[in-house]
Amino acid sequence: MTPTLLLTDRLPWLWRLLGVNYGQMRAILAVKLQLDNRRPAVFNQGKKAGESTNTYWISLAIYAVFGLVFSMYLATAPPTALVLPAALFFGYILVICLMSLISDFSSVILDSSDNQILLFRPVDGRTVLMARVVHVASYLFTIALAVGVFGILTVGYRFGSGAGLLTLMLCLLMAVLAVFLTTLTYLLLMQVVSNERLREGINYMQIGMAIFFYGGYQLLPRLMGTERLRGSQVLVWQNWHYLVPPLWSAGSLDMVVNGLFDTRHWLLLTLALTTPFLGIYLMLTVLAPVFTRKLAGMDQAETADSALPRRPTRPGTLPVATLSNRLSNWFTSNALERAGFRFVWHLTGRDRKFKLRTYPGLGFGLAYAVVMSLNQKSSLGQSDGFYLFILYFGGIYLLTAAMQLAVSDDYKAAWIFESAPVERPGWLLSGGLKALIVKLMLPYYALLSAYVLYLKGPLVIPTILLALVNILAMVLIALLMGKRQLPFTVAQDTMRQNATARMFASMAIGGLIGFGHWGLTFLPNAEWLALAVMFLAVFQLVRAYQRTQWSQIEA
Amino acid sequence: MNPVIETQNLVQFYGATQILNSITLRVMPGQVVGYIGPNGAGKSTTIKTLIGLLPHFRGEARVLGLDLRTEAMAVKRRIGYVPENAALYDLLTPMEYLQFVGQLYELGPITVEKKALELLRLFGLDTQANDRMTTFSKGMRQKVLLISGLIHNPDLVFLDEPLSGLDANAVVLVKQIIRQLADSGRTVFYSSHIMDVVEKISDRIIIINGGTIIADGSFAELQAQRQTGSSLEQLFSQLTGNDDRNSTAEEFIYTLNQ
Repeated sequence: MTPTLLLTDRLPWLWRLLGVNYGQMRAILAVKLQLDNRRPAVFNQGKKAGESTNTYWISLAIYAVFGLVFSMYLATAPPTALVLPAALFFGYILVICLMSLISDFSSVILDSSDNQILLFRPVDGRTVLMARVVHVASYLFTIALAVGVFGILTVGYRFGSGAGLLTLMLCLLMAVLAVFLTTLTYLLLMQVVSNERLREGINYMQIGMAIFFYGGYQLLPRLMGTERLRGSQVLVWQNWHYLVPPLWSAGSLDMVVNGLFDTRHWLLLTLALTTPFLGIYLMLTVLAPVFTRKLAGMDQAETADSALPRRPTRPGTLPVATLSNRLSNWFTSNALERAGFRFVWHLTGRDRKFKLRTYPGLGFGLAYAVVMSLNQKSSLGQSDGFYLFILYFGGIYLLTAAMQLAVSDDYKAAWIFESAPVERPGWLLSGGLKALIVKLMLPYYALLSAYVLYLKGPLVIPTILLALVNILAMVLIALLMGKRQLPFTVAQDTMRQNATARMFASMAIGGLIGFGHWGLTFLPNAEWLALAVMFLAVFQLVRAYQRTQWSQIEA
Repeated sequence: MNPVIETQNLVQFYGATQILNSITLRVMPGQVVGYIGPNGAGKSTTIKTLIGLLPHFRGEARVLGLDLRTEAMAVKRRIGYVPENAALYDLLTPMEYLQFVGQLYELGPITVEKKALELLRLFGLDTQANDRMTTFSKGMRQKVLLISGLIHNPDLVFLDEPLSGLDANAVVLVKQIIRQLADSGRTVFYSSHIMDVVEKISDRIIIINGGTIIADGSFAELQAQRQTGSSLEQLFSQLTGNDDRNSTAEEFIYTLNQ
């Protein structure tokens, strides 16, 4: 019996209220949780089962460390000025939950792989949807708790256990709210977009949400004034604050800590406590009926994808020189590498789940660029080095994509690599990486650089080039040190892989390299020299990657 | 007697592509209906529509006397379905999987336990009842899948290529099960590419090509329309326009040798 089921068993009234068939929901949920527990053993029996649990704990630890920074503010702010640090703290939890949802758990909510198992059984859309929502929420709760643990302890220590418990509950409600917000967005999209466009629609929506939520989070403290954060100034409440969910929670905490039992604070508490549940109720009653129908449609869409242009090929003629064919000839040095290049080029464009997991990363960089240029005078913008960080965001996207490349629903098709006479799998790896760089990263990086170029003028050209080479070096080092896996050959392990935690960690590393790079910009010609050195380094790293043997490949 | 399946000008689209083209069907209870056609003819789409997976169809469809549009849930409760691509959660054991399916049909856990064990035993899987299915062969999975489609004792069963991967003994067993299901008044709607099996077990054979029904009747009736003495395989070739296999095979080998 897992903690999740223990909890759901206590809430029969809630399920009845929501109109969910609890027996069926519990059955689905129990099976899903059991599957998650057993997952690592699927394909790679050689792999130690403990390994993925370890990465899971590490990612939770990363979240906790990030959360620690925010609990500092909670620890030092005077009680009367608690609202802002608390709002930042709850906002951070909300954003982390939203980010995980968008990039890690979207595929769970929109999963169509068990259509053949579930959809023809007498289970209604509401129950299936609720099972998925609870499934995802159970993981989000751990994430929210990991981020919040230090904050909860701080509040509990300073203001008594009552306030601590309230903080704990408000943290969990942030997770529920995050589930509601993302699922609602998907469901609304499902209502308005036709089946065939749905998949693309979801991808664009993800990028949009990433920009909106991450950007909103960056922007919010500035709207309220960063200087208040450290000072002792008391927040002046304004009516638009009712629209900002983290302020609901912060206000509720303010009420209990400072004993402010006025109408405004009661209203905030009510909003914090009821909105997540009202939202879920609304979602289930109004929007859920379409859910399973659209899911079935997505499945259908995958089998009968007519979006690809049909190229007439006559026997005896050479294959048409498509863009991918021409590019693969330019960038690769032998047939095997070319095979890897084209394979990855085609599949990254068509594997919906790959796009689901990686496209939100595109949004972060854009959000960062937008927000930073909006307030150039504050924090990083002051130092004028912020344009460097925009460039390094391009690298974070490449890193996420490279890490996700091995994962696929069709991992069973990997037998082809083993049965074919492939002598040096490293060529497949390098071909795949080159395709990722050329297809996904370079256009994105070009966009970011164009913006930087527009801001700073042609003098930043060496900076742009050096950042690019640095990014490639960073990604190659990460790939050489990590597990090497052939593209699209590993079973999905959504719950444990935690792309978001990894991405936040690599943001930190990217930031560090960017900082070093920023130092170089003060020395004359240092960038050109570094460029030459790093270029050679990248060349050697690619060579090393190409030399990967079968013994170094992990299935 | 009321028909168990009744469709009137059933049309199914995917995007702009028409997959089913005005299918009109009446199936009476107690029959084994063999539903055959070349790859991509619309067999699976017909079945998926009739079990309520694809509710966006044009025309009329009633299953077990219930309107498929408005009473899909009631239909789902009383039909069984065995999908073609052996989709199940193979990280579970057969018993866990069947218990899970039982819960979805809201059957009592003790009944399911007893029934599932007994059915697994009859398929020779009793020793593996508590092993994870990851190590199972395709035939073993197919057996579990068959049980999961029948465990709630449905009145109408849709089987999509049910014999795939089964060994010779299991094939004989499943054929007899299909026969006895029909003899006890239930209806089996059966889709397959194995022509001699369809020829032997079906009371009625429906051939579909390009989303349209091109032949419908008992094997004897179909034979009567053509030269006598031909097998279902030959009939099928003639009707679906792929009659000249020898020369195609020769060309295939010729191309390989190039």
